Amino acid sequence: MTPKPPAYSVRELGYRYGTRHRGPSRKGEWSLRHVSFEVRDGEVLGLLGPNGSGKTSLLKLLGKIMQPGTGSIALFGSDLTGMVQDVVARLVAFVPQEHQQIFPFSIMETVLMGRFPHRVRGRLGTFGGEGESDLRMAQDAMKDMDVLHLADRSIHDVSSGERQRAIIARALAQQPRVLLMDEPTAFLDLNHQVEICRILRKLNDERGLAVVLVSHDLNMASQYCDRIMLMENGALYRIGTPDDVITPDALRAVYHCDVLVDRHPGSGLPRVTLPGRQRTGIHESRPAP
Amino acid sequence: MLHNKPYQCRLAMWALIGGLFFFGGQATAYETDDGTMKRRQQGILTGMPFMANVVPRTFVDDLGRKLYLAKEPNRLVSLAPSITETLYAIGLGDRVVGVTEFCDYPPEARSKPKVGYSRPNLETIVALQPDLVLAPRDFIRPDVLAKLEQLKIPTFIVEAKTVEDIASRIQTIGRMLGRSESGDRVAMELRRRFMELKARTEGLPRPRVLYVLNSQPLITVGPGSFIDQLIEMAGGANVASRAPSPYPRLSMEAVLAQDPQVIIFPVGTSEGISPGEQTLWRRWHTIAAVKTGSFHQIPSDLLNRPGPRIILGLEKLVEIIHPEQFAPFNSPPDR
Amino acid sequence: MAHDTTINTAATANRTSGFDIERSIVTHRRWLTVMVCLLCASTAVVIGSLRFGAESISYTNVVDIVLLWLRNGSARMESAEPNFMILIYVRLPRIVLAFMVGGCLATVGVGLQALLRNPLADPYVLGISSGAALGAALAMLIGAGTTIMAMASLPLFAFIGGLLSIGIVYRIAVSYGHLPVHTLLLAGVVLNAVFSALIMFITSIMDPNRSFGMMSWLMGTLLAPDYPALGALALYVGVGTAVLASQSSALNILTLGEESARSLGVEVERLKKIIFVTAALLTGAVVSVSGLIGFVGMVIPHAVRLFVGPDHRLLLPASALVGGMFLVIADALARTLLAPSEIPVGVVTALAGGPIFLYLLTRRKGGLAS
Repeated sequence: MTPKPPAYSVRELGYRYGTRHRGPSRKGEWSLRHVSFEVRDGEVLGLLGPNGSGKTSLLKLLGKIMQPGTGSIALFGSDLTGMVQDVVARLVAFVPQEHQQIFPFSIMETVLMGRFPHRVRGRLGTFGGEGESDLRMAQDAMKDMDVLHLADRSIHDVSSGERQRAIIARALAQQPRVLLMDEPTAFLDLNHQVEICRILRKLNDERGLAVVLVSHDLNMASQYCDRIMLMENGALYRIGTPDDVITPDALRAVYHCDVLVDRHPGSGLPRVTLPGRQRTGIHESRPAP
Repeated sequence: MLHNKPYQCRLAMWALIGGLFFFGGQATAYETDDGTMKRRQQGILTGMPFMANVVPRTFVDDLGRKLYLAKEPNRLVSLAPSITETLYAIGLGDRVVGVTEFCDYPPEARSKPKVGYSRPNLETIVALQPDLVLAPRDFIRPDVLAKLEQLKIPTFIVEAKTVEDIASRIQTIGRMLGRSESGDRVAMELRRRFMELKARTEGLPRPRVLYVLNSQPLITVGPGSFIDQLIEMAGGANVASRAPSPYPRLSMEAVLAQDPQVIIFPVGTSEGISPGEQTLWRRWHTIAAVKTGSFHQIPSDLLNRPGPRIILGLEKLVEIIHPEQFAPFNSPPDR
Repeated sequence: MAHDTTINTAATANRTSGFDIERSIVTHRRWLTVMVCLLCASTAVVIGSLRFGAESISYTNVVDIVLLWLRNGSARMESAEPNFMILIYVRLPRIVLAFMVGGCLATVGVGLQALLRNPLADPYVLGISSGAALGAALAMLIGAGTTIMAMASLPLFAFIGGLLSIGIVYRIAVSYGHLPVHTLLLAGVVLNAVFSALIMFITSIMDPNRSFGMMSWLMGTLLAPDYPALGALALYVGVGTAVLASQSSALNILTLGEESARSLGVEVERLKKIIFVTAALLTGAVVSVSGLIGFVGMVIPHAVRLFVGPDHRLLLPASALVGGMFLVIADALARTLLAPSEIPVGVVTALAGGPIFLYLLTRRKGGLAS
């Protein structure tokens, strides 16, 4: 049996904001340096790290939203840079951190946009409508994300959590093999956070969907990710199972603060607790200067 | 006096365009109409006896301003092409020290220092040390006039709306500058030829005339414009006589319905009616003027400048409008 | 649109409970309904406006003349009455021109609004029209002696001018990432001011007779074109609109922002180039035949979006038709209000569109400023 190629194989990746892509950093500051890792097919990989450590840049590079400065990315064995945008979009879906839409598209229309990369380019270019199968897949995705009842509502008229779920539904409608998510649970209520994590696991189990998610939530990452990659200042600090990565010393090195790590009573996976007030006396913690 | 017709519109248009572009603020032509005042001054300027209290060296201009000239002015600045032509016509060309950028007749005038036109450069004027500035009423800006007064530069405002006005202004300027005799001579010649023209066109049928200031969009002359009057004087009927403004955008539909028999294109000094423009007009082949090929050009300077050459323009118009009745006028006055 | 409510919800398959597909997306059926209604309305507006002009021609006369024309062609028109010339060679081509120009401006407006993700974008307000006008003025200056040459180079120069200003506007728009509406509009105001200053400079060094004509042309003028010229323009407009329409799904996705659009498989750079070039082409073509006509490109897509929703597959063609109708009506007013003299149609659209623009600007302030 030949080994399946990994979802992503990243070699010596470097990126800096240049003149073409404007962003928070000025040219010359490398936001990513010499990053090499693999995303295995069918795994859930969490990208952790402080603000500005390069997580979001890395995610956008994986989605071919930005072009790498140096190094290479292979998607299922083929070079990402050489792939056409809609071929990438059929394999990889991206859920951005924020959704900015000025025009009042309905939720259904928004989700159907996920079918765009799969549409047959006919004589009318991209003028034509969606087919039956597109509609069905969009509806399935909306059902999964519990937004089907909002189908005719404008994207402006729903809560930010509902909007976020609609965007995830749009990503699912792309029928990708890899899902890239930038803080997917940031705007969600607790119940929907749990729900999304559950759905991600389910998709992962049933369809073998690989997921790369950027998060600030160490606990969520620890509980739901197969592996975790810790970034520090544009470089890879450590990659491995939650047990390997979520350790007090690694977190201290990256976040420069002390936290309490113990075991989750249900899963036995590492659990991170913020330093408590000194009343309990379990652990003394003091923020590093 | 003397104005380049398009300019009037152009300034107004700048204002409009400027407004459309969000930033307005182009100055438009300052015009006030004060008819009664004007009539009275005409009396003064043509030397009617009841104004005997005005001493000979005092002159009243077309804004009613009194101007006392202790001695004959020797350094003249003209702020209009028509004034420049008048000065040359009465033999005062060598006293002119400053002209506008549009003063191109007689050719000698071109070599005189330029002071600008509707916005003359005050510094240049001051530097020329004129002892009299002659300016057209329509285009002298009030602020420029105020400044000239403040600088104690004698300024005389001229306005002429009719042929008789033109003749009388020529006489006034002649008297002011010690050239009464030649001023009277030029004016009388102007009046004589004008009367002759009137006598010749009296009672003739009036062909319908379209005067094309601009083809695309079609802009013509309407009631209240100087050229509209000239067309009437020359025995023609302006097809835009019902238009609501002096320089209307005329609907092509109205042109087709009015069916002009003569189409006149004013042209600059060198250019003719371009082939493109003629083709444009030939499309409308039901128009009488197109059927008979009655397209004519006329040097725009002759009609736009209310100066001594206005009679040449009128004669040319008559020649165009009533060619069957008149042999060409082939005795241009030498000046 | 009225037909939204007439849609038979029972007939459309509610395969899954709880939502109504007709209200959620633009179905084929809805697309067809809207487009057929708008086409009928457009035809009605065009035919209705044949009645209005400097010369009054009754409808019966209009019908007679049109029938005469259709039966005999143009060969026999010499023998016809002047009304024949007026109707067939002045009024009809002008109405068709107004329709194309209006449609074009609305289409460009839709494209720019998607590109800049800004519902107040308009070729006129953003200074793209004045860029094209500057190009055209330059062509007039260069080809001053030979009208034929000037006419041939006019659309080309207008196109280049339009492209230049779209480039500048876009540059300003992207250099701050997501640009607040007011900043973009301000940029447009400045561009307009600069371009109009340059145009004034050109007119000041031109022969006064010529510059006078140019200024009146700039004020927004619909001429009576001959049919070959109309055909040439139709070609420009047809190609430009078709290219933009063919990208409508991609335009939908572009409104999500460039990054999201890339992640959904849109070749963003290519799409942007397409929008740039077609918008400049259409603006250039329109400006070179009609001067500056403002606000159609902003007001029309905005209004149409309220009725048919933001999906560009319907928004784009619907806006084109409504924009065409709007300008035909505006031009009918321009022709008749001061007959036999005419008002520049740009004045009419600016007077109608300006207040609407201000209203939208103040109403949208809270929602769009961030």
